[in-house]
Amino acid sequence: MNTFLLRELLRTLFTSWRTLLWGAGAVMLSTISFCILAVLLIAYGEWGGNRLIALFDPGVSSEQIRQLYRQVREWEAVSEVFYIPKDDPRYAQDGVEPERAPAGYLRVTVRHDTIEAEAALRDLPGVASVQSYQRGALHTLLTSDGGTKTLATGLEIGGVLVSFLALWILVRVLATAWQGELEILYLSGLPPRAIRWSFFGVAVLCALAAGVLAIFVIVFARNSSEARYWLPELLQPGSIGQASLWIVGGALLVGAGAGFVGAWTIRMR
Amino acid sequence: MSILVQVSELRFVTPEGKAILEDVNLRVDHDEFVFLVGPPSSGKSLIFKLLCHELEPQRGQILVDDRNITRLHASKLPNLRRRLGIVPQEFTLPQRTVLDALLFKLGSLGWDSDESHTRAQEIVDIIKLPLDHLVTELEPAQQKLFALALAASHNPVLMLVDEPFAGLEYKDAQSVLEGLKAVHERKHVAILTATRQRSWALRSGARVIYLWKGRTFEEAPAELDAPLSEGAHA
Repeated sequence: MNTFLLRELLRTLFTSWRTLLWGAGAVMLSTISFCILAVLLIAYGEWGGNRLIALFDPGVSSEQIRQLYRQVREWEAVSEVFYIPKDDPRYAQDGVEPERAPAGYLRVTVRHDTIEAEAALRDLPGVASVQSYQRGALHTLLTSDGGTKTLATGLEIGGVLVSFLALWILVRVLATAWQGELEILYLSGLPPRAIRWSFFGVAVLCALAAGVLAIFVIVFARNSSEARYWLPELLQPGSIGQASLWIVGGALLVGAGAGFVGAWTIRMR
Repeated sequence: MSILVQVSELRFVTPEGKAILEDVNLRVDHDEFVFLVGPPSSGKSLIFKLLCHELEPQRGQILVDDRNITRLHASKLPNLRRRLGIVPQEFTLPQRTVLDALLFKLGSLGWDSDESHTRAQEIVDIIKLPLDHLVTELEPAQQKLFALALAASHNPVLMLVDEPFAGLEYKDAQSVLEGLKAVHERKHVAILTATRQRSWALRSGARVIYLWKGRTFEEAPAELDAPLSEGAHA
């Protein structure tokens, strides 16, 4: 790829109002599309499905909590157990109401079947109640009826298409703004392939920028009260990381596709 | 002087079956200034297209520096074009200043920034142009000179200049001719200029080749005088 041309194309993108507006529009639309994709991916995913929260009886002593912890840790079915005090950041992730666990709680991850482990935990002296992991309202909505699921699928496909179209149009707008430059390059004997790869590069870079922006939006939104209600899965370890990988991969594919179609349909002369 | 371009028995027929070029023979030496004079639609621009391999002839041979480029593979085309400086009759101007456009061209061909600046300054010293003016806001004659500067900036071995005087007033055409001569003298580059205006060709002092009814002539055929005088304004 001719990096000089790529730099010049990016300069044109940022220095002309027309291309800047089109570029910002394409990146913004793609960011929205990628955000929708990430949210749906996280809402559909299985996060913390094998996790149980054990809440203690009021007035339970620290020694009792320590004993319970040691006892549960020895169970065959348990893969990990944590005591989460009130000031631990993980407290917020699990969505436990503060008045129900003033002394903290045990977060127990089981290997397979949560039902048996849940019953065994409930029978332990000092344990008031056991709650399994709560899914967000969005997950419940999406799995409640076929219509919502179809709408979500439509949003996913529509988002990818909108992003593809926006980036493709951006390449066309850049090519139009570069008619004079394209003529110079053609007459200079620069291989058309080299010119096209530069346009392709711009589309991929814009798509990646939109993908990164989408990840930022999701990271910053995770602690909002709306996110906790609709998508508490955002707080589950690994959920954002996995969704980010998908978003970056998807952005690369969408950018490459739009860049390829846009760049290879540019008329040199 | 050694031969740079040798065109022999060139024939070109359009897809509709009309023979535009019947028997074209021409030679351009290294560092030579040559005019190709012919009436409108006689095939001058077509010869340029064949020389830079935009089209292929049905018959004949084109040698550039003893290399046959008549049937050139597409992968070799950029190498050929880089040896040429092409000035088309009309082309889309970039929204850049003269200096920026020259730097853009040289940068895209891989010259580094310092070298590009040196070369841009060098060509603007030969062809007097305001470096900081937008190309689109230049006078018509200056735009032609800009195209000339752009084509000459990467030191080609042969410049193909198509109708440089078309649509210009006498004074403007004069400045373009001076620009052409300056590039030829100071850059030591061979220039093949196509024009319908014989008077400018004769005034240049360059060698003149005539194109008439698909054939080339060293001397102007008598029947060519009338069509050529129609296009002359000088």
